[in-house]
Amino acid sequence: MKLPIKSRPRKRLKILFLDKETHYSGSDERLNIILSPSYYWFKKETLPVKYVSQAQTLAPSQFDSIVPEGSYKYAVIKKDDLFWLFAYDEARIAEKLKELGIKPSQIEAFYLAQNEFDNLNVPLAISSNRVLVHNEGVLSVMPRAYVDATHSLDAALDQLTLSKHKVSLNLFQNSVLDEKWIYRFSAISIVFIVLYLTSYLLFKSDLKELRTEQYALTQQYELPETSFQLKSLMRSLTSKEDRQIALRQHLKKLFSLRLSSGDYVKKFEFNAKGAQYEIVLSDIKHAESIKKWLQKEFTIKSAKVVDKTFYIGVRL
Amino acid sequence: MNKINPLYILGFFVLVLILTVIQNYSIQNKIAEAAQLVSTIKQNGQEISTLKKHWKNSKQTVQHIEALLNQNPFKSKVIKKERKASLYKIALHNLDAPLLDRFLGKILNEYVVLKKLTIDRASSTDISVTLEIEL
Repeated sequence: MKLPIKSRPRKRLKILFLDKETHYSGSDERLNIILSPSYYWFKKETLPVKYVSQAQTLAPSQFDSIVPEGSYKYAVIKKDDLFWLFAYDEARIAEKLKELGIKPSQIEAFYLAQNEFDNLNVPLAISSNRVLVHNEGVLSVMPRAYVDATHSLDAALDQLTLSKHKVSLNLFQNSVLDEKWIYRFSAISIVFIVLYLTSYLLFKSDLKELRTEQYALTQQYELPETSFQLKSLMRSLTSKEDRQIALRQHLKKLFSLRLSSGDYVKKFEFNAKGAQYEIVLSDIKHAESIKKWLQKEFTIKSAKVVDKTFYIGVRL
Repeated sequence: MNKINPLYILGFFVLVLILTVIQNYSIQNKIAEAAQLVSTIKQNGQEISTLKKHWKNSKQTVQHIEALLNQNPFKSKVIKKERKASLYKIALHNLDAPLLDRFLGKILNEYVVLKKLTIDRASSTDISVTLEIEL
């Protein structure tokens, strides 16, 4: 079973006819704008091309000698074998809209009066002294002194169904940069963004590899997790090595003790704190020279001679 | 019809570009730091590994001492080999001065943590030596 689709009727937007003498006192409502002939230049031409896009490239040359010097945009509408060519100055239109207090965000689309009022057969009063007239296929605005109008524009706009031919306009007239340059710079920025993002992703993968290597090395060498623990371990091991090397050097010195003939070491005790000799002397006078020799390198802890045995202790 | 000012669009892209440049710079710094850290870990790791191998390897210490004590002429002089927790005690006797010198020369050239050394001379051919080694 098909469910009926109920679509809400689309609210008709207000249509504003934008002429030099248009006044606007509306709110921030959304608008469709029809450009008055006073805001564009119009030509009907038979061109040696088939498509609108091709005609668009030829449009500027068609207005070369007609329009005053300035910066124009061009619009083309194909009507049977004819091309309708339009030239309009965005800056002038933007200026008028600004003057009327209409924001760019309010505008839904722009239309051209020539196209929207193509079938106009009676003059329309657009203000107290200006009239919209269709004459020999060309729509124009004339002073009311020449043509009398019995119909008002507002009533015509209420009945009007807009065509599909919208006109593209850039209302943001930037004084710093031309629109073309803005898009060029944006494109350059995008290229650099892509390049930098690619390089960022490559760097990120490199960083991940380095982090993995860090972890693997920590596991391989069984290193502690924190740098504090690592330093502590390193300190403990190096101090152990330094202590053992120092002990061996002290032992080397202590073993190099020269004794007089007849004297000999009966007992020798050594540990990390110091050493203790028990030296049997042939003459107790030798004790003094032994003490002197040891004193040069070590601190004497104790020294005594008992029955020709010299007991001497040194501190390392 | 343009609803957004193109200048804002350019501003947005420039902002994104600046952010990507900053991110790039920041990640490059992180990579340099991480590479430095890897090199430090490698260096420290090798150093710690060597130190542990030398001074914190009880199995290796015992193996080296046993190998020395099993060599001639020390094998017959050993009177004590005792392992207590983290201490290894050995004692040799009946050594003369050159043999004692040779024994001490050998053991002190090993990576062993010497705690205590006692030399006792009964006569010129009967010198005993006792060593306490930390494991």
